Amino acid sequence: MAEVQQSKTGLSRRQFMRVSGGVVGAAFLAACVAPSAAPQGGSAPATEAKELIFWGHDQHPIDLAAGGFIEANPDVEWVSPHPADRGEKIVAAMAAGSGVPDLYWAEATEAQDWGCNALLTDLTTELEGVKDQYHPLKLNEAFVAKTGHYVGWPGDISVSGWYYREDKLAEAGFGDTDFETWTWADFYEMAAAMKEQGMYAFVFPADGWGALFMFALHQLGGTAVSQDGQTMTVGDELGVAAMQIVKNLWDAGGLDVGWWSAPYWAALKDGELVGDFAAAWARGFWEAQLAGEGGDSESAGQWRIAKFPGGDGIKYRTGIWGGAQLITPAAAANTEGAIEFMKYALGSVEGAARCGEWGIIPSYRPYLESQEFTGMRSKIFGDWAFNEFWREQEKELSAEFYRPAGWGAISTVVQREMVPIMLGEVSVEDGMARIVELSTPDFERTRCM
Amino acid sequence: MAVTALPPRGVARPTNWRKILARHWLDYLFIAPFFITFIIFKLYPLVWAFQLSFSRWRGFGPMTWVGWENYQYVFKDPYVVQSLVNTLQFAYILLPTGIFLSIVLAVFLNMRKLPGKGVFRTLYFLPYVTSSVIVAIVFTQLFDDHMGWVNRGLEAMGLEAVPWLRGSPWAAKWVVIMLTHWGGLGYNVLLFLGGLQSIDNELYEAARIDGANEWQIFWRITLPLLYPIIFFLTIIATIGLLNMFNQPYMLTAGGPRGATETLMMRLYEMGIGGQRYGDASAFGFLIGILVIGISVVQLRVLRRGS
Repeated sequence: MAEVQQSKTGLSRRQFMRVSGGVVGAAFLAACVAPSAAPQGGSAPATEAKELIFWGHDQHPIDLAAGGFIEANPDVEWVSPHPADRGEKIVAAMAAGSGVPDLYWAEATEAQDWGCNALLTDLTTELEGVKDQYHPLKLNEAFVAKTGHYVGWPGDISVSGWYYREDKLAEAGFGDTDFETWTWADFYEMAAAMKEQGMYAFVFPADGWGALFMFALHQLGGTAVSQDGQTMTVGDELGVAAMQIVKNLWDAGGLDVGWWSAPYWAALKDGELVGDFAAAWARGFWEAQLAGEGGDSESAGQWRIAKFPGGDGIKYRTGIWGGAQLITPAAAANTEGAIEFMKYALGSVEGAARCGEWGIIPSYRPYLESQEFTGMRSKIFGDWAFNEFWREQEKELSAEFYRPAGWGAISTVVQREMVPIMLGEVSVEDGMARIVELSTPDFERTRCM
Repeated sequence: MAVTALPPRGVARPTNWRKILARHWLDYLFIAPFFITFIIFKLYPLVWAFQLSFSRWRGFGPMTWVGWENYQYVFKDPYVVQSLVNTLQFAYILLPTGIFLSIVLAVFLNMRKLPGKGVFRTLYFLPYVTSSVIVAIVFTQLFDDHMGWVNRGLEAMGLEAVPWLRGSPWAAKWVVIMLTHWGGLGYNVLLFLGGLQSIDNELYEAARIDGANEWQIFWRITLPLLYPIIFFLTIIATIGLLNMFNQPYMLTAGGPRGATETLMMRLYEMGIGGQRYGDASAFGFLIGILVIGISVVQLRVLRRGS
């Protein structure tokens, strides 16, 4: 009776639910069967734009090259969404075999890892005739020893040097340093003396800085992993010697700030930090921080770069850090377009010059010899031809330094376990043995098999 | 008077299901979204992760069955042991101090004659609704070893700077603890404040008539009546603290020397960082067992206490 009365005055609970359910169901069905937007009448355009999808970080150098590529290929539509967590996303997409970009800016170890697992397009044929135009190290990073295939196009050269302020060095009494002949012993001495004057020659965060170890290892002609990616070599005598260099650096005294943190830039602007070891691509960040919106800082034009110090056992006067390359996943929709783009962006002077504006240095040798490269100037370096310096540094790269799959397992442990060595809690030899021991399980699980 | 005859036990009643479904299909339709999303986004991944915990897989390529190897690996990983110790240290420092401070603050904010009570309440709750990422960035600036405001302040007072974030494992732990307290106390205070306001004033008046002082009133009336909230917060906060990730990740990235790496950070490093999904799945299940185990023990102890 109550239900009857309710139905006269309004909807019962059950009726309300039925009506709501019906409406939701109808809306759902309508959404499912809605026709997709199709061109109304007429024929399709004569040339349909073909998408070329690129994933990389914001304000990417590769995006700069896209402008030139599209001018030459107007039928190409450049799509560059800069997705967050793109590393995880591309792995998931490659595993699924769909949803991958056509181009991806991959670090050396990523390209090696994915290439080992047959997830990337084989570029061996494309690179076959042009290998002499790239440094062997950059080619090695694109080459998967297990499969015998090239899986990436050699990208950023990522040579490194010691950035320093010329005026501050002179102020500290080291203005006449001969950087062609200086040794690590000279550097330790200089860094310690500068520290006494309230200036720092480099940064060494108290919680470790693994990049310094990799720099030193490269200089000594060592490598953390063998070329075939099957053996860890980080603990060999070159590894021990490299860690000894890092320990000496620690003892000399670096500035304890997080690398590229706000205090780092503040120390750089204040003239407290007057030098640091960094890769060529760091220039863009230096410029952004030191040449602010309101004009140049007092250090503008004062910066220079020197070769890494030499000394006993040192074979190369530079280090490698970063240095990504372009890859195209095997499941990409527009592999042909991607390869054409690689040839333009990293294998032509015009494309490389566009990428190079950002701060990276495409490793294409004709570009390194070109006026576009050597004639480049920067606010932080003033009239100094910094790229002529980098061009010479390219010749200092070791062809024996490899970063295959599994390298990441080692670099993580090096970063974490170097502090006890620095603090003298364990000897360099014992510390390196511990690094090998702790890296082994992860290396065994992540190396190319 | 109607008598419903029940079917004998063990006899299948297929028609009943159909009848129930026909009668309640709309009800089931309305509760279906939860179950569908639960099955797709919770149950299926859980079952899949369980299977994965016995396999080796890096997100691509073939999945290889390895039996208990992943579990053995987790137990052998020295960084896992360290992250467990860190997590338990955080949990069992943060938990009692957090509850104690929350009660003190709630009692303080519940005082009738406190001027600006509303402002204080808002201020204490504000950190809870502020993004932990932003708060962590602020803390990084405050406690930076070299240029942080705290060290500048200490030096201005003639004291020695403390290597808060990078140089000293215990100092870094304390900064993480401070950040967690700062961000989380507001919620606890709010709960205790609600509890305090629900206590009948007559109880206090009766106690005062009987000659009880304020201290005795707090211990004999207020605290016992807040016990259900303490009980609830202990369980919830323990689970939250065992899953702690944001604060140490943003502040110290687990350093120095792994001193602030929690179980969740290690899991993240294993799974997302190292793409060792099999190991990470096994580790995830072990963490789950640990959390359930600790929660059950706490429940029993607290129930006995009540």
